[in-house]
Amino acid sequence: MTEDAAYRASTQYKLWSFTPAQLSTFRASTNALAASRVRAAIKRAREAQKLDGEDEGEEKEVDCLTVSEEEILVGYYCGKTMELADLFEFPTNVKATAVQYLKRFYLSNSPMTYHPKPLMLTSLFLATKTENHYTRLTAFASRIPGKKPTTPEDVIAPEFLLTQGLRFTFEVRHPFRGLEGGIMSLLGLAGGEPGAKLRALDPADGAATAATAAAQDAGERIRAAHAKAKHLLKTSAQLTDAYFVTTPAHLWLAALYAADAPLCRFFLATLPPLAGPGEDPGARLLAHVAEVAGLLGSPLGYTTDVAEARRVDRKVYFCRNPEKVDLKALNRRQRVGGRGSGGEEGGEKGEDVRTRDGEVFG
Amino acid sequence: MSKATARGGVPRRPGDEDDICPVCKSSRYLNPNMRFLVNPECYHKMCESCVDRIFSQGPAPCPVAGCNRTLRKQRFRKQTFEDIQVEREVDIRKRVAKVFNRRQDEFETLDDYNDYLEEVETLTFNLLNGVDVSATESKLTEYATQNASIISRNATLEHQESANLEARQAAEREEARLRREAARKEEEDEKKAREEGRKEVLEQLVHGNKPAADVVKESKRVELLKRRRAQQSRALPALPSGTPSANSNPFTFKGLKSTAAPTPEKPYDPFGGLTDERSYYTLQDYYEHPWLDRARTDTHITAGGYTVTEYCARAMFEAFSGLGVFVGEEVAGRGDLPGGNGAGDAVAAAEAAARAEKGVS
Repeated sequence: MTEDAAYRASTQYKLWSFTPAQLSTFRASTNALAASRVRAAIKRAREAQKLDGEDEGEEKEVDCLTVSEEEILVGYYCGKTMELADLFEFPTNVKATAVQYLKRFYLSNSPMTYHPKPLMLTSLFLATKTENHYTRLTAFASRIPGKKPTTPEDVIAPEFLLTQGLRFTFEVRHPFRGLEGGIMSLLGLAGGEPGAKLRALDPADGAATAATAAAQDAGERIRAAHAKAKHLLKTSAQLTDAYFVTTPAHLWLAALYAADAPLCRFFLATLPPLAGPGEDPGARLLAHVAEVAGLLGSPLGYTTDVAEARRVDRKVYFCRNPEKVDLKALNRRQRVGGRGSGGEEGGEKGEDVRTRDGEVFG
Repeated sequence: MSKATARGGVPRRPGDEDDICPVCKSSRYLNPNMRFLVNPECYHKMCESCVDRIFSQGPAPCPVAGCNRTLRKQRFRKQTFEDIQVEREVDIRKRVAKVFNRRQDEFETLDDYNDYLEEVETLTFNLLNGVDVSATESKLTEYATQNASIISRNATLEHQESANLEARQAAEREEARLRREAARKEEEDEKKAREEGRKEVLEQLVHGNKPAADVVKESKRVELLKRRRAQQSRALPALPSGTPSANSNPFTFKGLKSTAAPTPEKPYDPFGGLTDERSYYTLQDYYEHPWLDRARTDTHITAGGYTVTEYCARAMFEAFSGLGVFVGEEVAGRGDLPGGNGAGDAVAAAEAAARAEKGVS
């Protein structure tokens, strides 16, 4: 099994790889569906209130979030997840996995239906489990900052919902270890025969002058590029759609490209020719890497100011699906429904799950 | 039966009395020990003394007028069937069956096997009735030379099967004999015990004990007997279970019969054809990395069996895993986003539909 075949066998390739166009249509359809459901739910809630005699008089049209507003909100909470992970001093892979879980979940679910705030905690806790970084649930819940203390049930109530949204695929292939591998082979090249060529390379875009770059030790240069690329992968690569549109191998190469383009070009030139269709796969790879490097430069949500995120958060308060607000109650009802003796909602849910079991296991 | 073995102990069929040898014209009346022999070359009947007389010196032409076939003494044999046509047919069938000894399990379907049988039967018919004899014979010999290995294999198989059958039958007979023996012995024991009991009772009576005590004693004895019989009957079923072990010589199990396929078994591949070939890199023995220097030497890390090479192999693999996969091109063909669509939107759509229904009702 070659490296490419192994990657093609992963769920990240099978279920979570898209083109940018697919991503945008998908987000649009999710948004449209969620908006219509939110309007219907709010209407129902108002009618119920009318029946109870609490007529509020005014009938305002619900102002739903747009796709870009949704993206801002999710991006904001992805950043928040990273901050929270830093607070817990979780390793990079836990942090990155939690962020990717959120991003994957909000591909098929809207923040209007499920607010990202409780799901952020759940995805971080789920990531500690899937990334084999054991954390006690009570300790985790007690250390979460906030005005109101968080209970363990708050953390795990939406867990099944989240795993459903993840299509029960928990593996996220990160580019971090790949970057280490690339740096190791680059350092090997620097010590070997191509080292002279490496020293004669053009200076990096950020380097001051050609003279200083030439004087610079090749190993030094690689280490500097490594640090930069690692930082890029840890931060902005998480917040963009890079995980959806490319592979981890391309991702770390793109980060290296963004950090030191001549170095990346040199490394690509040392690789054996790519097996694949097209006239010049090597040039195509370079073009793709440069494109992804450009994507890494413009992280979504992360750069938007907090004020904008606050505005969207206030807006979402008025267009939330009232039936999906209490995730704990929802979870409890679903559990009862799973045993076949629940109310209407639970019964429907149970049946729905059962019919889809065939898809998951078939 | 008494008539057949009346004279000289030679078994004879009725009507043999007036048999006359067509060559020397001597009759059985004169020579009661006369035996008729035939040669499968032409099936002309003649007596034993004629065969001795004519063919002792070597091959000679058949003495019957009009038949010029050369016969050898060696091939003369006793006639099995009274009708010479039947004798001939049986010989031919034997010969054909020796060559065409294909088995049913060699054929994919029963129809194929039946077609094969029909073809063989046509060939046999031709030989029997003299239709295209030379062509058929050549066909037969050609087939025999071409399929010599299969024929010999099937012949040995058949031989084994018949040997197995015989062994099994012998084992069954032995088993039955043992069972009979056991039953007989049991009966004898019982009889002896009964006799003894009776004798004892009589003795007791003679010595003038109380009749009530006698009755008690006898009943006790009967009880004992019954118990013993029960024990024996319990021991009996163990007998046949022991006998199959005599049967289990290496040729009796069923699988051997059908393992005609001589395909050699391939060497076992635990990974099912999976190899760890790498297309973009070759793993080096040593990788320089500032992080790893401590891990290489620190006994706290190495004592547990951790090796840096494992980490290096994994890092190198992940560095190139998916290098040739261009997601944008490969995924574009996928239909309506199978990835995410299943989870959220499907749920949403289903719920929306359910809502709508509820709203209507």
